[in-house]
Amino acid sequence: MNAMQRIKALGRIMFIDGMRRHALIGLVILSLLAEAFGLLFMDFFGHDVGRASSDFLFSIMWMAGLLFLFFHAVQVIAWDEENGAIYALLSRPISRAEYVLGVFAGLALLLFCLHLLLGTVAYGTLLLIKQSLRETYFPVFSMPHFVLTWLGIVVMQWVLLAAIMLFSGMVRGGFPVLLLTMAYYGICSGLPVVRASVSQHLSPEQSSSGLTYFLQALTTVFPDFSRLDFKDSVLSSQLLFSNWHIAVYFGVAGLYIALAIVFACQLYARRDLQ
Amino acid sequence: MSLRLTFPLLLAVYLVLFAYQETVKQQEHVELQPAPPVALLKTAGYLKQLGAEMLYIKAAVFLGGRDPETPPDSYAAVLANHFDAMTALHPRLLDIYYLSESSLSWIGAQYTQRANAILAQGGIYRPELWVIPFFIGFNQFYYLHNFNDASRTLRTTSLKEGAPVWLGHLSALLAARGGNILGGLAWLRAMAATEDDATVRTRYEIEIKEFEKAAHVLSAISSYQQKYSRPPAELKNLVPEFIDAIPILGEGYELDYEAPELYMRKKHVG
Repeated sequence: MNAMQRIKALGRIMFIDGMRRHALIGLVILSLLAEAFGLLFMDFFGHDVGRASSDFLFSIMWMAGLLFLFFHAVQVIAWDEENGAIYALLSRPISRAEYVLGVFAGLALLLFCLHLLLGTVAYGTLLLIKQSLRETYFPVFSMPHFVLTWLGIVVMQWVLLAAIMLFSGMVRGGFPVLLLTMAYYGICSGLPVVRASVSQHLSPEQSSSGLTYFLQALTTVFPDFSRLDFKDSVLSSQLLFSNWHIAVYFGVAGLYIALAIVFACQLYARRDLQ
Repeated sequence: MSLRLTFPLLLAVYLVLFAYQETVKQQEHVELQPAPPVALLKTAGYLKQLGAEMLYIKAAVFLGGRDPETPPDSYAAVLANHFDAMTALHPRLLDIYYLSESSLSWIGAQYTQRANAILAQGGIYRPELWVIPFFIGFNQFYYLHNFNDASRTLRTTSLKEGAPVWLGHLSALLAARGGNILGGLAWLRAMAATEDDATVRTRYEIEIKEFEKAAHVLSAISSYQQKYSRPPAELKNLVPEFIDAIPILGEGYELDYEAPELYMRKKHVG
């Protein structure tokens, strides 16, 4: 069995284990019901019905993904350690790096499947809403932009998953990892606001101040998730960003995930499991 | 007391108190609480658009549920604050602009200006729509009585795709009402020259004749001013040296002279 096969096997275990969890099945049912609520949510709006419905459905997907990450992914990784499963796995011929990659691959696939299901239902719901309205209230619905927005959510939450893997390599126990993840998410969401606020208060001459560079440097560690938020494009026939920008945003996110996973592998390799 | 009796007793007390609570709640004065600071709301990140939609629903529910006797000044500032927050979070949501126009612009000049600032945000993010600048132009005309600004706004609005043809006409009418008769005339001529519909073109040509009569009076005022170095106190002072007679305008127009400005007023519009 080569390394790739071992990673695949571990990923498969993680995926099947997740599929069996009642909490995760409950999350899926709850999210689907929340998406169905989109049919009622649109009644609150009199003009931009399509936009409000689209925002609502993507927000549900985002929240479902966060619940998965905070209360499933964190617990699965921590569960492994607290219940000794990691020792059982590491006693087999599997390296620690393979363990990290296998767990990440399994959870990333599970998250992908969750979003695939929710995304398909959201797409159907939006089509249903569009067909039930006059064109004025839902003039454009772009499938490629919908897929791009959906992909944005998946990649952003893979970034969060990679960060969870990293934190689980730094500290022991589910609760500390959960706290670190929530703090990380809070900083990632708040940092763009701080940067915008600072740049508004600085004159053009001060725009290259130390504080600006410091905040920019912080963004390399705490990425700006809004870069991959394409919700506003779903109801537009034209993309609000150029293809090159989109490629760069996804490229940066992809490299961030790779860096975080490699770093997590190194942390796990050096870690004393006793 | 046995446990079997305790539950129904507690339930009965709970239901009575609950009913009383509901009665008290219904008598409470409905108030719109201020929206949290925009910077804080923006930290919602991916959910910020949903946050704006929640604020919209909150404002709409308040407007629908408030006592009709509530003085608008008592909630206008908080309502404007809600619209500011909504536009900062989700400037592309069209419903915000419809609601701000219908609920804020009429409260007073200060709030008309706030509404126009909110609408201006919409104009930046939804430049393809004619309805948002139309609201701005309408507010400038109807609430702020700033006819020249309204004319300019409606003129640019009338060039947008899908804008109704009467917007350009309204713009010319407001230009004349604001004293820019030559501007209105030029705009009407341009509209007549590019209009394909013969009926509408004929309508423009009739209006152009009225504007030309006013332009003739304007020219007489200018000649008077050149000769006497001051404008005439009344229009009749122009007769017969500069004009044979002050023309009577048709199509519901009348001349309104407040030295040195000449205005064309639509009788039924004011």
